[in-house]
Amino acid sequence: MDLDSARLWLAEQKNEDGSWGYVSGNAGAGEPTLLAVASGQDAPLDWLRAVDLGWSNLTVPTCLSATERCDDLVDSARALIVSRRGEVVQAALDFDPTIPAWPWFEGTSPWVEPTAYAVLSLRHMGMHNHQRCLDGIRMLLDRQCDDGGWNYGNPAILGARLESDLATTGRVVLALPTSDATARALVRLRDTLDWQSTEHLSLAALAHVAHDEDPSLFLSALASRQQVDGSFTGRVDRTALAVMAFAAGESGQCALFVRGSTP
Amino acid sequence: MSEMSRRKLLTGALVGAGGIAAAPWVWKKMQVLDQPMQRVSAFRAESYDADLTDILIRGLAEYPHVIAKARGGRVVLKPNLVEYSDERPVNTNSAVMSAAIAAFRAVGAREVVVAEGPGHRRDTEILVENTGLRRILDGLEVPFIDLNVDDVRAMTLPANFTGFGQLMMGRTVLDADLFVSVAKLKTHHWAGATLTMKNLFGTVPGSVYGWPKNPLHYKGIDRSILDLWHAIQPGFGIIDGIVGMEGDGPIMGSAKASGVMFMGDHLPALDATAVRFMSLVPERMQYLKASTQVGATIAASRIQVVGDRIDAQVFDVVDRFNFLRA
Repeated sequence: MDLDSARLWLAEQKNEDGSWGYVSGNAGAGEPTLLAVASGQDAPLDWLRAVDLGWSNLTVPTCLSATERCDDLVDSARALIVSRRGEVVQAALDFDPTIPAWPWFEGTSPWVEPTAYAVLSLRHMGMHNHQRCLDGIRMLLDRQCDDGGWNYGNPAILGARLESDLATTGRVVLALPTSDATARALVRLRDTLDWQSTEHLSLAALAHVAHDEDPSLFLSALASRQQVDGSFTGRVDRTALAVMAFAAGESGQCALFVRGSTP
Repeated sequence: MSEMSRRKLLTGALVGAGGIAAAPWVWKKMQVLDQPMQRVSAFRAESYDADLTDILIRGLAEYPHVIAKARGGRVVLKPNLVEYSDERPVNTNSAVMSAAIAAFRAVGAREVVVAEGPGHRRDTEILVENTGLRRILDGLEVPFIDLNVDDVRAMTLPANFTGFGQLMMGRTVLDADLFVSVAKLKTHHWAGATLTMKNLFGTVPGSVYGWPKNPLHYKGIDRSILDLWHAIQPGFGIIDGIVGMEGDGPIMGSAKASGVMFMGDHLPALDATAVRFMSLVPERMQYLKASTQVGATIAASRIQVVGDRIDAQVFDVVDRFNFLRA
Protein backbone atom coordinates (compact mmCIF):
# COMPACT_ATOMS: atom_id res chain seq x y z
CA MET A 1 0.00 0.00 0.00
CA ASP A 2 1.10 3.53 -0.74
CA LEU A 3 0.60 5.20 2.61
CA ASP A 4 1.65 8.62 1.38
CA SER A 5 -0.91 8.69 -1.43
CA ALA A 6 -3.66 7.63 0.97
CA ARG A 7 -2.71 10.42 3.36
CA LEU A 8 -2.53 12.90 0.52
CA TRP A 9 -5.97 11.81 -0.69
CA LEU A 10 -7.36 12.34 2.80
CA ALA A 11 -5.83 15.80 3.00
CA GLU A 12 -7.35 16.70 -0.35
CA GLN A 13 -10.83 15.73 0.81
CA LYS A 14 -10.83 18.23 3.64
CA ASN A 15 -13.70 20.71 3.43
CA GLU A 16 -13.10 24.45 3.67
CA ASP A 17 -14.28 24.42 7.27
CA GLY A 18 -11.63 21.81 8.11
CA SER A 19 -14.07 18.90 8.40
CA TRP A 20 -14.46 15.74 6.35
CA GLY A 21 -17.59 14.17 4.92
CA TYR A 22 -17.87 10.43 4.41
CA VAL A 23 -17.34 10.88 0.69
CA SER A 24 -15.72 13.62 -1.33
CA GLY A 25 -17.83 16.74 -1.58
CA ASN A 26 -20.18 15.82 1.25
CA ALA A 27 -20.77 18.05 4.24
CA GLY A 28 -18.61 17.39 7.30
CA ALA A 29 -19.72 14.65 9.67
CA GLY A 30 -18.41 13.63 13.05
CA GLU A 31 -17.20 10.11 12.35
CA PRO A 32 -15.11 10.69 9.20
CA THR A 33 -13.65 13.88 10.64
CA LEU A 34 -12.60 12.21 13.89
CA LEU A 35 -11.18 9.18 12.07
CA ALA A 36 -9.22 11.45 9.73
CA VAL A 37 -7.79 13.23 12.76
CA ALA A 38 -6.95 9.93 14.46
CA SER A 39 -5.09 8.92 11.31
CA GLY A 40 -2.86 11.99 11.59
CA GLN A 41 -4.71 14.81 9.82
CA ASP A 42 -5.06 18.22 11.47
CA ALA A 43 -7.99 18.54 13.85
CA PRO A 44 -10.61 21.17 12.98
CA LEU A 45 -11.17 22.10 16.62
CA ASP A 46 -13.43 25.08 15.95
CA TRP A 47 -15.63 22.95 13.72
CA LEU A 48 -15.75 20.17 16.31
CA ARG A 49 -16.79 22.70 18.97
CA ALA A 50 -19.51 24.16 16.76
CA VAL A 51 -21.41 21.11 15.53
CA ASP A 52 -23.60 18.46 17.12
CA LEU A 53 -21.47 15.34 16.83
CA GLY A 54 -24.28 12.99 17.84
CA TRP A 55 -23.06 9.49 18.65
CA SER A 56 -19.58 10.40 17.38
CA ASN A 57 -19.10 12.15 20.74
CA LEU A 58 -18.42 8.68 22.11
CA THR A 59 -15.23 8.53 20.03
CA VAL A 60 -13.90 12.02 20.80
CA PRO A 61 -11.54 11.06 23.67
CA THR A 62 -10.12 8.22 21.56
CA CYS A 63 -9.76 10.01 18.26
CA LEU A 64 -8.37 13.21 19.81
CA SER A 65 -5.99 11.37 22.13
CA ALA A 66 -2.99 12.60 20.13
CA THR A 67 -4.38 16.11 19.60
CA GLU A 68 -3.32 19.10 21.71
CA ARG A 69 -5.42 21.98 23.06
CA CYS A 70 -8.70 20.07 22.98
CA ASP A 71 -9.27 19.46 26.70
CA ASP A 72 -12.65 21.19 26.54
CA LEU A 73 -13.87 18.80 23.83
CA VAL A 74 -12.62 15.77 25.74
CA ASP A 75 -14.13 17.00 29.02
CA SER A 76 -17.47 17.56 27.39
CA ALA A 77 -17.37 14.12 25.76
CA ARG A 78 -16.37 12.52 29.07
CA ALA A 79 -19.40 14.06 30.79
CA LEU A 80 -21.68 12.76 28.05
CA ILE A 81 -20.14 9.29 28.08
CA VAL A 82 -20.41 8.92 31.85
CA SER A 83 -23.99 10.17 32.01
CA ARG A 84 -25.57 8.55 28.95
CA ARG A 85 -27.03 5.09 29.22
CA GLY A 86 -29.42 3.14 27.07
CA GLU A 87 -32.96 2.25 28.02
CA VAL A 88 -33.52 -1.20 29.50
CA VAL A 89 -35.69 -3.29 27.19
CA GLN A 90 -38.51 -5.08 29.00
CA ALA A 91 -38.64 -8.22 26.89
CA ALA A 92 -37.54 -11.82 26.97
CA LEU A 93 -34.15 -11.76 25.32
CA ASP A 94 -31.24 -14.12 24.92
CA PHE A 95 -28.91 -11.72 26.70
CA ASP A 96 -28.92 -9.56 29.80
CA PRO A 97 -30.58 -6.24 28.88
CA THR A 98 -30.06 -4.77 32.34
CA ILE A 99 -26.30 -4.20 32.04
CA PRO A 100 -25.80 -0.44 31.72
CA ALA A 101 -24.36 0.44 28.32
CA TRP A 102 -24.58 2.98 25.52
CA PRO A 103 -27.17 3.66 22.80
CA TRP A 104 -26.53 5.19 19.41
CA PHE A 105 -29.30 7.68 20.02
CA GLU A 106 -30.46 9.12 23.31
CA GLY A 107 -33.55 7.46 24.76
CA THR A 108 -33.08 4.12 22.97
CA SER A 109 -31.49 0.76 23.76
CA PRO A 110 -27.79 0.05 24.22
CA TRP A 111 -25.98 -1.55 21.30
CA VAL A 112 -22.61 -3.18 20.89
CA GLU A 113 -20.80 -0.64 18.74
CA PRO A 114 -21.51 2.55 20.69
CA THR A 115 -20.65 0.64 23.85
CA ALA A 116 -17.31 -0.35 22.32
CA TYR A 117 -16.64 3.30 21.43
CA ALA A 118 -17.49 4.44 24.95
CA VAL A 119 -15.40 1.74 26.64
CA LEU A 120 -12.41 2.56 24.45
CA SER A 121 -12.74 6.25 25.24
CA LEU A 122 -13.05 5.62 28.98
CA ARG A 123 -9.93 3.48 28.84
CA HIS A 124 -8.15 6.19 26.87
CA MET A 125 -8.99 8.63 29.66
CA GLY A 126 -7.55 6.27 32.25
CA MET A 127 -10.98 5.41 33.65
CA HIS A 128 -10.34 1.66 33.51
CA ASN A 129 -11.90 0.99 36.89
CA HIS A 130 -14.84 3.36 36.53
CA GLN A 131 -18.07 1.44 37.02
CA ARG A 132 -19.36 2.51 33.61
CA CYS A 133 -16.24 1.10 31.96
CA LEU A 134 -16.51 -2.17 33.86
CA ASP A 135 -20.21 -2.45 33.04
CA GLY A 136 -19.51 -1.68 29.39
CA ILE A 137 -16.96 -4.47 29.20
CA ARG A 138 -19.41 -6.81 30.93
CA MET A 139 -22.09 -5.92 28.38
CA LEU A 140 -19.77 -6.58 25.45
CA LEU A 141 -18.76 -9.95 26.84
CA ASP A 142 -22.45 -10.80 27.39
CA ARG A 143 -23.21 -10.11 23.71
CA GLN A 144 -20.39 -12.16 22.20
CA CYS A 145 -21.75 -14.47 19.49
CA ASP A 146 -21.19 -18.22 19.49
CA ASP A 147 -18.68 -17.85 16.64
CA GLY A 148 -16.48 -15.60 18.81
CA GLY A 149 -17.32 -12.27 17.21
CA TRP A 150 -19.93 -9.58 17.71
CA ASN A 151 -22.77 -8.23 15.62
CA TYR A 152 -24.78 -5.05 16.11
CA GLY A 153 -26.16 -6.30 19.39
CA ASN A 154 -28.05 -9.57 19.36
CA PRO A 155 -26.17 -12.87 19.67
CA ALA A 156 -29.57 -14.52 19.29
CA ILE A 157 -33.10 -13.51 18.47
CA LEU A 158 -36.30 -15.45 19.03
CA GLY A 159 -34.19 -18.50 19.83
CA ALA A 160 -32.10 -18.38 16.64
CA ARG A 161 -28.35 -17.94 17.14
CA LEU A 162 -26.94 -15.16 14.96
CA GLU A 163 -23.59 -14.76 13.25
CA SER A 164 -21.15 -12.01 14.05
CA ASP A 165 -20.25 -9.09 11.84
CA LEU A 166 -16.57 -8.77 11.03
CA ALA A 167 -16.13 -5.00 11.20
CA THR A 168 -18.09 -4.81 14.45
CA THR A 169 -15.93 -7.59 15.84
CA GLY A 170 -12.82 -5.60 15.00
CA ARG A 171 -14.21 -2.51 16.73
CA VAL A 172 -15.06 -4.46 19.89
CA VAL A 173 -11.68 -6.20 20.05
CA LEU A 174 -9.99 -2.80 19.82
CA ALA A 175 -12.00 -1.64 22.82
CA LEU A 176 -11.42 -4.64 25.09
CA PRO A 177 -8.36 -5.56 27.13
CA THR A 178 -6.71 -8.81 26.10
CA SER A 179 -8.60 -11.88 27.33
CA ASP A 180 -9.86 -15.27 26.23
CA ALA A 181 -12.81 -13.46 24.63
CA THR A 182 -10.56 -11.30 22.44
CA ALA A 183 -8.47 -14.36 21.54
CA ARG A 184 -11.60 -16.14 20.29
CA ALA A 185 -12.59 -13.03 18.34
CA LEU A 186 -9.18 -12.80 16.67
CA VAL A 187 -9.56 -16.41 15.55
CA ARG A 188 -12.97 -15.53 14.09
CA LEU A 189 -11.39 -12.65 12.15
CA ARG A 190 -8.62 -14.88 10.80
CA ASP A 191 -11.14 -17.58 9.83
CA THR A 192 -13.09 -15.11 7.72
CA LEU A 193 -10.18 -13.59 5.86
CA ASP A 194 -11.79 -14.41 2.52
CA TRP A 195 -14.74 -12.10 3.34
CA GLN A 196 -12.94 -8.93 2.48
CA SER A 197 -13.69 -5.27 2.81
CA THR A 198 -11.67 -2.22 3.75
CA GLU A 199 -13.37 -1.93 7.13
CA HIS A 200 -13.03 -5.60 7.94
CA LEU A 201 -9.38 -5.84 6.94
CA SER A 202 -8.34 -2.53 8.53
CA LEU A 203 -10.08 -3.19 11.81
CA ALA A 204 -8.90 -6.79 11.90
CA ALA A 205 -5.31 -5.63 11.36
CA LEU A 206 -5.65 -2.95 14.04
CA ALA A 207 -7.20 -5.46 16.44
CA HIS A 208 -4.30 -7.84 15.88
CA VAL A 209 -1.65 -5.19 16.48
CA ALA A 210 -3.49 -3.94 19.56
CA HIS A 211 -3.33 -7.43 21.05
CA ASP A 212 0.25 -8.11 19.94
CA GLU A 213 -0.68 -10.48 17.13
CA ASP A 214 0.62 -10.50 13.56
CA PRO A 215 -1.54 -8.36 11.19
CA SER A 216 0.35 -9.15 7.98
CA LEU A 217 -2.29 -11.37 6.36
CA PHE A 218 -4.87 -8.62 6.67
CA LEU A 219 -2.51 -5.87 5.55
CA SER A 220 -1.48 -7.66 2.38
CA ALA A 221 -5.13 -8.22 1.46
CA LEU A 222 -5.91 -4.61 2.31
CA ALA A 223 -3.12 -3.26 0.11
CA SER A 224 -4.71 -4.78 -2.97
CA ARG A 225 -7.86 -2.76 -2.39
CA GLN A 226 -6.25 0.64 -2.64
CA GLN A 227 -7.49 2.65 -5.62
CA VAL A 228 -5.33 4.54 -8.08
CA ASP A 229 -6.25 7.83 -6.42
CA GLY A 230 -4.85 6.56 -3.11
CA SER A 231 -8.23 6.09 -1.44
CA PHE A 232 -10.14 3.02 -0.37
CA THR A 233 -13.53 2.97 -2.15
CA GLY A 234 -13.46 6.78 -2.21
CA ARG A 235 -14.57 6.89 1.43
CA VAL A 236 -12.86 9.06 4.03
CA ASP A 237 -13.72 6.85 7.01
CA ARG A 238 -12.45 3.69 5.31
CA THR A 239 -9.30 5.35 3.99
CA ALA A 240 -8.51 6.73 7.44
CA LEU A 241 -8.91 3.26 8.95
CA ALA A 242 -6.65 1.78 6.28
CA VAL A 243 -4.01 4.44 6.92
CA MET A 244 -4.11 3.68 10.64
CA ALA A 245 -3.89 -0.06 10.00
CA PHE A 246 -0.78 0.26 7.83
CA ALA A 247 0.87 2.78 10.09
CA ALA A 248 0.20 0.51 13.07
CA GLY A 249 1.60 -2.45 11.13
CA GLU A 250 4.82 -0.54 10.64
CA SER A 251 5.17 1.19 14.00
CA GLY A 252 2.93 -0.72 16.39
CA GLN A 253 1.35 2.62 17.27
CA CYS A 254 -2.12 4.03 16.65
CA ALA A 255 -4.21 6.76 18.22
CA LEU A 256 -6.95 4.18 18.76
CA PHE A 257 -4.80 1.91 20.97
CA VAL A 258 -4.82 1.81 24.73
CA ARG A 259 -1.46 0.38 25.79
CA GLY A 260 -0.23 -1.14 29.07
CA SER A 261 -3.38 -0.44 30.97
CA THR A 262 -5.32 -3.65 31.39
CA PRO A 263 -7.78 -3.19 34.28
CA MET B 1 -71.65 15.51 -8.30
CA SER B 2 -68.52 13.42 -8.26
CA GLU B 3 -68.58 9.69 -7.65
CA MET B 4 -66.80 10.17 -4.32
CA SER B 5 -69.24 12.87 -3.16
CA ARG B 6 -72.19 10.71 -4.12
CA ARG B 7 -70.71 7.80 -2.24
CA LYS B 8 -70.19 9.86 0.88
CA LEU B 9 -73.67 11.33 0.64
CA LEU B 10 -75.15 7.88 0.14
CA THR B 11 -73.21 6.50 3.08
CA GLY B 12 -74.29 9.36 5.27
CA ALA B 13 -77.89 8.77 4.30
CA LEU B 14 -77.64 5.05 5.08
CA VAL B 15 -76.15 5.72 8.47
CA GLY B 16 -78.93 8.16 9.20
CA ALA B 17 -81.70 5.83 8.05
CA GLY B 18 -80.30 2.60 9.38
CA GLY B 19 -79.43 3.90 12.79
CA ILE B 20 -76.72 2.74 15.15
CA ALA B 21 -77.08 -0.99 14.41
CA ALA B 22 -76.21 -0.56 10.73
CA ALA B 23 -73.42 1.97 11.23
CA PRO B 24 -70.39 -0.34 11.71
CA TRP B 25 -71.17 -2.33 8.55
CA VAL B 26 -71.81 0.77 6.55
CA TRP B 27 -68.70 2.46 7.89
CA LYS B 28 -66.53 -0.49 6.90
CA LYS B 29 -68.07 -0.58 3.43
CA MET B 30 -67.55 3.14 3.05
CA GLN B 31 -63.90 2.81 4.03
CA VAL B 32 -63.37 0.30 1.24
CA LEU B 33 -65.26 2.31 -1.35
CA ASP B 34 -63.30 5.41 -0.40
CA GLN B 35 -60.05 3.73 -1.39
CA PRO B 36 -59.02 4.96 -4.84
CA MET B 37 -58.69 2.31 -7.55
CA GLN B 38 -55.10 1.17 -8.01
CA ARG B 39 -53.31 -1.17 -10.36
CA VAL B 40 -50.73 -3.82 -9.50
CA SER B 41 -48.81 -5.89 -12.05
CA ALA B 42 -47.99 -9.53 -11.35
CA PHE B 43 -45.78 -11.70 -13.52
CA ARG B 44 -44.55 -15.25 -13.39
CA ALA B 45 -40.74 -15.53 -13.35
CA GLU B 46 -39.65 -19.06 -12.62
CA SER B 47 -35.98 -18.30 -12.07
CA TYR B 48 -33.41 -15.53 -12.02
CA ASP B 49 -32.33 -16.68 -15.49
CA ALA B 50 -35.66 -15.52 -16.96
CA ASP B 51 -35.73 -12.33 -19.05
CA LEU B 52 -36.43 -10.11 -16.07
CA THR B 53 -35.72 -6.92 -17.99
CA ASP B 54 -38.51 -7.74 -20.41
CA ILE B 55 -40.86 -8.47 -17.51
CA LEU B 56 -40.04 -5.15 -15.88
CA ILE B 57 -40.43 -3.20 -19.11
CA ARG B 58 -43.82 -4.85 -19.71
CA GLY B 59 -44.78 -4.01 -16.16
CA LEU B 60 -43.66 -0.41 -16.45
CA ALA B 61 -45.73 0.00 -19.59
CA GLU B 62 -48.83 -0.13 -17.38
CA TYR B 63 -47.71 3.11 -15.70
CA PRO B 64 -47.04 5.83 -18.32
CA HIS B 65 -46.73 8.53 -15.64
CA VAL B 66 -43.91 6.54 -13.98
CA ILE B 67 -42.10 6.29 -17.29
CA ALA B 68 -42.58 10.02 -17.74
CA LYS B 69 -40.91 10.65 -14.37
CA ALA B 70 -38.04 8.32 -15.18
CA ARG B 71 -37.44 9.74 -18.65
CA GLY B 72 -34.58 12.21 -18.51
CA GLY B 73 -34.43 11.98 -14.75
CA ARG B 74 -32.42 10.40 -11.98
CA VAL B 75 -33.87 7.07 -10.89
CA VAL B 76 -32.84 5.80 -7.47
CA LEU B 77 -33.28 2.04 -7.00
CA LYS B 78 -33.39 0.99 -3.37
CA PRO B 79 -32.88 -2.77 -2.89
CA ASN B 80 -33.34 -4.65 0.37
CA LEU B 81 -29.81 -5.52 1.52
CA VAL B 82 -29.76 -6.78 5.08
CA GLU B 83 -26.84 -9.11 5.52
CA TYR B 84 -25.15 -11.75 3.46
CA SER B 85 -25.98 -15.43 3.77
CA ASP B 86 -24.83 -18.32 1.58
CA GLU B 87 -27.88 -20.31 2.55
CA ARG B 88 -30.84 -17.96 2.82
CA PRO B 89 -32.39 -15.52 0.31
CA VAL B 90 -32.13 -12.50 2.56
CA ASN B 91 -31.56 -9.78 -0.02
CA THR B 92 -33.10 -8.50 -3.24
CA ASN B 93 -31.42 -10.67 -5.84
CA SER B 94 -28.75 -8.99 -7.93
CA ALA B 95 -30.34 -10.29 -11.14
CA VAL B 96 -33.45 -8.27 -10.30
CA MET B 97 -31.33 -5.19 -9.69
CA SER B 98 -29.55 -5.70 -12.99
CA ALA B 99 -32.89 -6.00 -14.78
CA ALA B 100 -34.29 -2.94 -13.04
CA ILE B 101 -31.28 -0.87 -14.09
CA ALA B 102 -31.68 -2.05 -17.69
CA ALA B 103 -35.44 -1.44 -17.68
CA PHE B 104 -35.23 2.12 -16.40
CA ARG B 105 -32.44 2.88 -18.83
CA ALA B 106 -34.59 1.43 -21.60
CA VAL B 107 -37.44 3.80 -20.80
CA GLY B 108 -35.11 6.78 -20.93
CA ALA B 109 -33.72 7.44 -17.46
CA ARG B 110 -30.85 9.94 -17.60
CA GLU B 111 -29.15 8.29 -14.65
CA VAL B 112 -29.81 5.19 -12.56
CA VAL B 113 -28.17 4.72 -9.16
CA VAL B 114 -28.53 2.02 -6.54
CA ALA B 115 -28.79 3.23 -2.97
CA GLU B 116 -29.25 1.41 0.32
CA GLY B 117 -28.59 1.97 4.01
CA PRO B 118 -28.66 -1.44 5.70
CA GLY B 119 -30.11 -1.49 9.17
CA HIS B 120 -27.82 -4.06 10.73
CA ARG B 121 -24.55 -4.04 8.86
CA ARG B 122 -22.54 -0.86 8.52
CA ASP B 123 -20.07 -2.46 6.15
CA THR B 124 -21.86 -2.02 2.84
CA GLU B 125 -18.66 -2.75 0.93
CA ILE B 126 -18.67 -6.39 2.03
CA LEU B 127 -22.44 -6.68 1.62
CA VAL B 128 -22.43 -5.33 -1.93
CA GLU B 129 -19.52 -7.56 -2.89
CA ASN B 130 -20.77 -10.77 -1.31
CA THR B 131 -24.27 -10.46 -2.71
CA GLY B 132 -22.85 -10.14 -6.25
CA LEU B 133 -24.21 -6.64 -6.63
CA ARG B 134 -20.75 -5.07 -6.98
CA ARG B 135 -19.98 -7.13 -10.08
CA ILE B 136 -23.30 -6.06 -11.64
CA LEU B 137 -22.87 -2.40 -10.78
CA ASP B 138 -19.30 -2.27 -12.05
CA GLY B 139 -20.32 -3.98 -15.28
CA LEU B 140 -23.16 -1.55 -15.86
CA GLU B 141 -21.22 1.46 -14.55
CA VAL B 142 -23.85 2.24 -11.94
CA PRO B 143 -22.80 3.90 -8.68
CA PHE B 144 -23.76 2.52 -5.28
CA ILE B 145 -24.69 5.13 -2.69
CA ASP B 146 -24.56 4.20 0.98
CA LEU B 147 -27.64 5.91 2.41
CA ASN B 148 -26.31 5.45 5.93
CA VAL B 149 -23.65 8.08 5.28
CA ASP B 150 -25.35 10.30 2.74
CA ASP B 151 -25.59 14.07 3.20
CA VAL B 152 -28.78 14.67 5.14
CA ARG B 153 -31.42 17.32 5.61
CA ALA B 154 -34.69 17.47 7.52
CA MET B 155 -37.73 15.80 5.97
CA THR B 156 -41.14 16.83 7.29
CA LEU B 157 -43.52 14.02 8.19
CA PRO B 158 -46.93 15.34 7.09
CA ALA B 159 -48.96 12.57 8.74
CA ASN B 160 -46.61 12.31 11.72
CA PHE B 161 -47.69 8.87 12.90
CA THR B 162 -44.48 8.62 14.94
CA GLY B 163 -44.62 12.06 16.51
CA PHE B 164 -41.10 12.83 15.24
CA GLY B 165 -42.42 15.76 13.22
CA GLN B 166 -39.42 15.43 10.98
CA LEU B 167 -36.64 12.97 10.22
CA MET B 168 -33.19 13.52 8.84
CA MET B 169 -33.06 11.98 5.38
CA GLY B 170 -30.41 11.52 2.70
CA ARG B 171 -30.32 13.89 -0.24
CA THR B 172 -30.19 10.93 -2.64
CA VAL B 173 -33.69 9.97 -1.52
CA LEU B 174 -35.07 13.50 -1.34
CA ASP B 175 -33.69 14.66 -4.67
CA ALA B 176 -34.60 11.60 -6.75
CA ASP B 177 -36.79 12.21 -9.77
CA LEU B 178 -38.11 8.69 -9.27
CA PHE B 179 -37.48 6.66 -6.13
CA VAL B 180 -38.09 2.94 -6.54
CA SER B 181 -38.33 0.49 -3.65
CA VAL B 182 -37.07 -2.88 -4.89
CA ALA B 183 -38.02 -5.28 -2.11
CA LYS B 184 -37.80 -8.98 -1.37
CA LEU B 185 -40.92 -11.06 -0.73
CA LYS B 186 -40.37 -12.05 2.90
CA THR B 187 -42.22 -12.65 6.10
CA HIS B 188 -40.92 -10.62 9.06
CA HIS B 189 -40.88 -11.61 12.70
CA TRP B 190 -41.69 -8.09 13.95
CA ALA B 191 -43.83 -6.63 11.14
CA GLY B 192 -45.56 -9.67 9.64
CA ALA B 193 -44.15 -9.12 6.18
CA THR B 194 -41.40 -6.94 4.75
CA LEU B 195 -42.10 -5.61 1.29
CA THR B 196 -41.72 -2.28 -0.50
CA MET B 197 -42.96 -0.16 2.42
CA LYS B 198 -40.90 -1.80 5.18
CA ASN B 199 -37.93 -1.61 2.80
CA LEU B 200 -37.97 2.15 3.37
CA PHE B 201 -36.32 1.67 6.78
CA GLY B 202 -33.13 1.47 4.76
CA THR B 203 -33.45 5.10 3.73
CA VAL B 204 -32.89 6.32 7.29
CA PRO B 205 -29.28 7.41 7.85
CA GLY B 206 -27.34 5.38 10.41
CA SER B 207 -24.87 8.25 10.70
CA VAL B 208 -27.63 10.07 12.57
CA TYR B 209 -29.78 7.33 14.10
CA GLY B 210 -27.30 4.47 14.44
CA TRP B 211 -27.70 0.81 13.58
CA PRO B 212 -30.39 -0.64 13.65
CA LYS B 213 -32.05 2.80 13.53
CA ASN B 214 -33.46 2.21 16.95
CA PRO B 215 -35.48 5.44 17.35
CA LEU B 216 -37.86 4.08 14.71
CA HIS B 217 -38.41 0.92 16.73
CA TYR B 218 -39.12 2.99 19.82
CA LYS B 219 -41.79 4.95 17.98
CA GLY B 220 -43.24 1.73 16.59
CA ILE B 221 -42.32 -0.17 13.46
CA ASP B 222 -45.79 0.22 11.94
CA ARG B 223 -45.94 3.96 12.59
CA SER B 224 -42.42 4.41 11.22
CA ILE B 225 -43.22 2.49 8.05
CA LEU B 226 -46.25 4.70 7.51
CA ASP B 227 -44.37 7.93 8.06
CA LEU B 228 -41.56 6.93 5.74
CA TRP B 229 -43.89 5.86 2.96
CA HIS B 230 -46.14 8.90 3.34
CA ALA B 231 -43.26 11.39 3.45
CA ILE B 232 -41.03 9.87 0.75
CA GLN B 233 -43.90 8.90 -1.58
CA PRO B 234 -41.85 6.46 -3.68
CA GLY B 235 -42.98 6.55 -7.27
CA PHE B 236 -42.71 2.84 -7.94
CA GLY B 237 -42.18 -0.49 -6.25
CA ILE B 238 -40.88 -3.87 -7.37
CA ILE B 239 -41.05 -7.09 -5.36
CA ASP B 240 -38.60 -9.91 -6.00
CA GLY B 241 -40.68 -12.99 -5.22
CA ILE B 242 -38.80 -15.33 -7.52
CA VAL B 243 -37.32 -16.88 -4.41
CA GLY B 244 -38.88 -15.39 -1.30
CA MET B 245 -38.55 -16.16 2.39
CA GLU B 246 -41.07 -17.67 4.82
CA GLY B 247 -41.03 -18.31 8.55
CA ASP B 248 -38.53 -16.42 10.68
CA GLY B 249 -37.80 -13.63 8.22
CA PRO B 250 -36.24 -11.22 7.45
CA ILE B 251 -32.94 -13.07 8.03
CA MET B 252 -33.38 -16.51 9.53
CA GLY B 253 -36.36 -17.79 7.53
CA SER B 254 -36.47 -20.48 4.84
CA ALA B 255 -36.29 -20.05 1.09
CA LYS B 256 -39.63 -20.18 -0.71
CA ALA B 257 -39.38 -20.59 -4.47
CA SER B 258 -42.46 -18.66 -5.54
CA GLY B 259 -41.64 -17.71 -9.12
CA VAL B 260 -43.34 -14.34 -9.11
CA MET B 261 -42.63 -10.63 -9.43
CA PHE B 262 -44.98 -7.83 -8.47
CA MET B 263 -44.76 -4.14 -9.30
CA GLY B 264 -46.84 -1.03 -9.08
CA ASP B 265 -46.95 2.71 -8.47
CA HIS B 266 -48.93 2.61 -5.22
CA LEU B 267 -46.94 0.81 -2.55
CA PRO B 268 -49.76 -0.07 -0.13
CA ALA B 269 -51.75 -1.73 -2.93
CA LEU B 270 -48.61 -3.47 -4.15
CA ASP B 271 -47.71 -4.76 -0.69
CA ALA B 272 -51.31 -5.76 0.07
CA THR B 273 -51.41 -7.81 -3.14
CA ALA B 274 -48.14 -9.54 -2.25
CA VAL B 275 -49.44 -10.22 1.26
CA ARG B 276 -52.55 -11.87 -0.21
CA PHE B 277 -50.28 -13.92 -2.46
CA MET B 278 -48.64 -15.21 0.75
CA SER B 279 -52.13 -16.25 1.99
CA LEU B 280 -52.05 -13.58 4.67
CA VAL B 281 -54.66 -10.88 5.30
CA PRO B 282 -53.36 -7.34 4.69
CA GLU B 283 -56.25 -5.76 6.60
CA ARG B 284 -54.82 -7.43 9.72
CA MET B 285 -51.41 -5.86 9.27
CA GLN B 286 -51.30 -2.65 11.24
CA TYR B 287 -49.29 -0.49 8.87
CA LEU B 288 -51.29 -1.51 5.83
CA LYS B 289 -54.61 -1.03 7.58
CA ALA B 290 -53.58 2.37 8.95
CA SER B 291 -52.29 3.50 5.56
CA THR B 292 -55.91 3.79 4.44
CA GLN B 293 -56.27 6.72 6.87
CA VAL B 294 -54.02 8.75 4.59
CA GLY B 295 -55.51 7.81 1.27
CA ALA B 296 -54.00 4.39 0.60
CA THR B 297 -55.68 1.47 -1.09
CA ILE B 298 -55.35 -2.08 0.22
CA ALA B 299 -58.81 -3.59 -0.43
CA ALA B 300 -58.76 -6.37 -3.03
CA SER B 301 -61.90 -4.97 -4.64
CA ARG B 302 -60.12 -1.65 -5.27
CA ILE B 303 -56.98 -3.17 -6.80
CA GLN B 304 -56.86 -4.22 -10.44
CA VAL B 305 -54.22 -6.92 -10.79
CA VAL B 306 -52.87 -7.11 -14.34
CA GLY B 307 -50.30 -9.31 -16.01
CA ASP B 308 -50.13 -13.07 -15.50
CA ARG B 309 -52.63 -15.11 -13.55
CA ILE B 310 -50.92 -15.87 -10.24
CA ASP B 311 -52.32 -18.31 -7.68
CA ALA B 312 -51.72 -17.64 -4.00
CA GLN B 313 -49.19 -19.71 -2.08
CA VAL B 314 -49.11 -20.47 1.62
CA PHE B 315 -46.20 -18.81 3.43
CA ASP B 316 -45.30 -19.97 6.92
CA VAL B 317 -45.12 -17.25 9.59
CA VAL B 318 -43.79 -17.22 13.14
CA ASP B 319 -46.43 -18.08 15.74
CA ARG B 320 -47.03 -14.51 16.85
CA PHE B 321 -48.35 -13.74 13.36
CA ASN B 322 -50.70 -16.71 13.04
CA PHE B 323 -53.57 -14.22 13.19
CA LEU B 324 -52.51 -12.95 9.76
CA ARG B 325 -53.30 -16.25 8.07
CA ALA B 326 -56.20 -16.12 5.62
